[in-house]
Amino acid sequence: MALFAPDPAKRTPSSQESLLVDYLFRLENFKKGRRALQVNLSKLEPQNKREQHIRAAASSFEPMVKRGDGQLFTLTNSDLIFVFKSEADDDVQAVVTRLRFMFADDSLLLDDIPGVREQFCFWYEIARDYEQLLERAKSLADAEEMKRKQSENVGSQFASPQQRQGGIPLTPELLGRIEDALSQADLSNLVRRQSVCAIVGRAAPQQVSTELFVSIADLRATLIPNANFTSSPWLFQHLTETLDRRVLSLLSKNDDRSLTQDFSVNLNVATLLSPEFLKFDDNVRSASRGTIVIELQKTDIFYDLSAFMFARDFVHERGYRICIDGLNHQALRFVDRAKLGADLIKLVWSADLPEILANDVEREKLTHLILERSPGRMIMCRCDTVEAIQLGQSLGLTLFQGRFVDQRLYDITQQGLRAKRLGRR
Amino acid sequence: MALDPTTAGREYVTQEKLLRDTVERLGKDPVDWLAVQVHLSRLLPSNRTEAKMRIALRMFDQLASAFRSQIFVLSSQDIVVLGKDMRQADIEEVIDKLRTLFKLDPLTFYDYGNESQFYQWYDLGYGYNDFFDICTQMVRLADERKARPAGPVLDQLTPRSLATALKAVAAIDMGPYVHRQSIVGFPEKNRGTLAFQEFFVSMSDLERAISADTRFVGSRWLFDHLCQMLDLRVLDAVKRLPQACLSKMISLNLNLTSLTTPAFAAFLDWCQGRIGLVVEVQTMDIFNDFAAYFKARDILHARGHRILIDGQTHLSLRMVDPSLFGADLVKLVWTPELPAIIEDPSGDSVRHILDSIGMDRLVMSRCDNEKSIVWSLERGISMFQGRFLDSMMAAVTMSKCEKSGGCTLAQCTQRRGVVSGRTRAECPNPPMVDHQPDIRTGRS
Repeated sequence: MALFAPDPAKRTPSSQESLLVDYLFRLENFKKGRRALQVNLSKLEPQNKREQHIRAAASSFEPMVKRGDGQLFTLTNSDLIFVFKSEADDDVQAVVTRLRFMFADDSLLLDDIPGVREQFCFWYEIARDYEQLLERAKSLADAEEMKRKQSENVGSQFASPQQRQGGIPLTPELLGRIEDALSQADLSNLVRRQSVCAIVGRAAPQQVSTELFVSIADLRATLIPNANFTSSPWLFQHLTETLDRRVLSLLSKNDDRSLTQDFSVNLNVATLLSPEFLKFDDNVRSASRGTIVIELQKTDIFYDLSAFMFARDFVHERGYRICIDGLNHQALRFVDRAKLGADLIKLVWSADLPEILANDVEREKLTHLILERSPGRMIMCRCDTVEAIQLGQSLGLTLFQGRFVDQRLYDITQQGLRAKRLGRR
Repeated sequence: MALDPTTAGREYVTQEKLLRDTVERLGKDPVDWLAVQVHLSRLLPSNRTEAKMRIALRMFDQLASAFRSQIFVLSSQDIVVLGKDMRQADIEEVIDKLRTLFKLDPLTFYDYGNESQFYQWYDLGYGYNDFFDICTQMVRLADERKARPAGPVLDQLTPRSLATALKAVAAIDMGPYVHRQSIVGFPEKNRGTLAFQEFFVSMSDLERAISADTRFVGSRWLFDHLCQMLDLRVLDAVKRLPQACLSKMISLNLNLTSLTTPAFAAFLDWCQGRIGLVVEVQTMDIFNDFAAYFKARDILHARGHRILIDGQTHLSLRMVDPSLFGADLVKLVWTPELPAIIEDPSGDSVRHILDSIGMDRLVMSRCDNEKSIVWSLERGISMFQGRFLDSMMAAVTMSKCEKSGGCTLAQCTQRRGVVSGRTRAECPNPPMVDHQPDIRTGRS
């Protein structure tokens, strides 16, 4: 009996193989009622396992992935591994039948006898075969990583200085691959929550709202580490739109009761004008809409102001509020919340802010600006130290978000729980 | 006898037809029946996108449950609500919401009592025949619309097709796709003279050259990425142009990310002592990275060049004050409804912003008729760009050109708009194709 020490830090989660390993780790306490299917596309004849064949085969699982029945991994050797809940067994069988038909003329299938001589696919009962599958996944991941390191070493000799500095630039090809990966990935692992709290003086933080977001950093780490998004800002914006749709469908399907109200979500203007948003809107209780905030990026807003204004008026009519996300103290000067008709603004904390505001003129400017823009509608975000809170409060702000805020909230909740337990005895 | 399949008895099931049939049936007793037609088809084209119409229709959702009314979404995009004993107030509430959604469209600029352009009520108890005639007419129009063949279904730009397009573009010489357009300044009210020339890539020509079936539509972000990748190619193409092609002052549309590349620095060196440069930047590029904008502006100013903020509309001027960016020039986009919008009391803030930018820093672009120039001159704007000016300059050139007898104005204008290729070579008097004459208007 081996003791598995899940240590994601050891492995740079960049491949489907390592994603599979991490997924299996998470399943350790949920083995019952799950199965896995391995489709041995790698064993097909060369002309039958080109990229379009793999993609076609993988897309057969898409409806189930979207429904949350399972997660698909397309390994580097082209094998597919689909881990799913047993309830979906019939659907998976149907897909396998379809795939068998798709590759019917390949010699692998001619040699295959379902139930007797399985060549094309292999079934795992997670409860029974967990360790075997995990071992297999780990060795595949190790092999893949070694191969990748080798090619990286070769590649980096030829990388331009810009590339070596800034990492891999986002190209259309890379974007295409990321989008394919996204359509198959179970994003619920990547959706993070962060609390927005009112912190007045030294009083305990009062939770006001929860922001749901897909951590771009995590996404980058899982899909393409070292990716440089800044040299291709427009491709990056396109990617966020793709993400939006996935997040919306996640939210529409969600059965997490804590997510029915008092939350905010990052979306693009284009997404607000899409049928997906209308579907999401249908699923939201009308009473909850007033507590849901839609966060928009300034780049996106100014991309097409007419579309923004239309979308803004529409979501306002439905009862939602709009927040302009991610403004630093310079951007605040140019983005007028009231003129844009937005309800809230997020001001970004950065470690160099105290130094900048040590200058009286700068401090005066910012204080004045905050007053003009209504401090009650401003949230200071990315507060990862107590300094952020102190500075924010000195500027007249009361709403905060960030790692420090989450930590404080957690500490206080723990204190409260302990007090309760003590009280009970 | 065989029927002509294109015309004989062609009946389409359209909402117009359903409406007319319904109205026909209630003709026996039309008392207490009301109808209202909301003329969404009269909105500006930019307000009639699929997304906006979908959302507009959603505003009628609250009526759907009221079984007293039926909603017809006509193929013209108009909406007709029909019902017996309907509560007018309910419908008016929805129309109010629509009015708010489309509050920047001139169709909603009416005063109380003058709403008939936007919507129209019909009391069928009194005006049944009139309304039935209208319905019949709409059926005919709908059938005509359906009989017209739909445009070809075009492939949208995807990351993969973009990658393919980029590879194709890398292999092409950009020269033939570089176009130019003059910006004309009016130092006096009746004399226009060349201020500078904008050089740009004709994306429609390029699109045709690359692929027969992928169009550069779909995600605008992907399209913008394509344009960004073309920046450095354009610099190259400009450097290779013969001296005669280039005016003393040129402008180029560039992404901020391109302005910090070694290639651009080299281009600035090349410009030294040769030409003056105006770099045109997009608003969203600026908002994406303010620091990059200011850095770029300073780089340009240090070398004696200028920066221009492109694409300002009456809408954008309400949201942000371009004078905050300290640009040398600001380009406005002319649209036919601009005078109405600016002269309306609600346009006060816009007029104020134009003043704070400074009328002498404004360029009015997309001037495709005389009104755009006359109105702007009256307001104190003195720089213009657009098809109308292109034609004027071509006309003046032709009047001076002894070999222009066999040319049309359209040909001359077209030849002057490109910098290489067969079209340009067709000009019988090559030195004149680059001639930039002063133009005189009859006004003072």
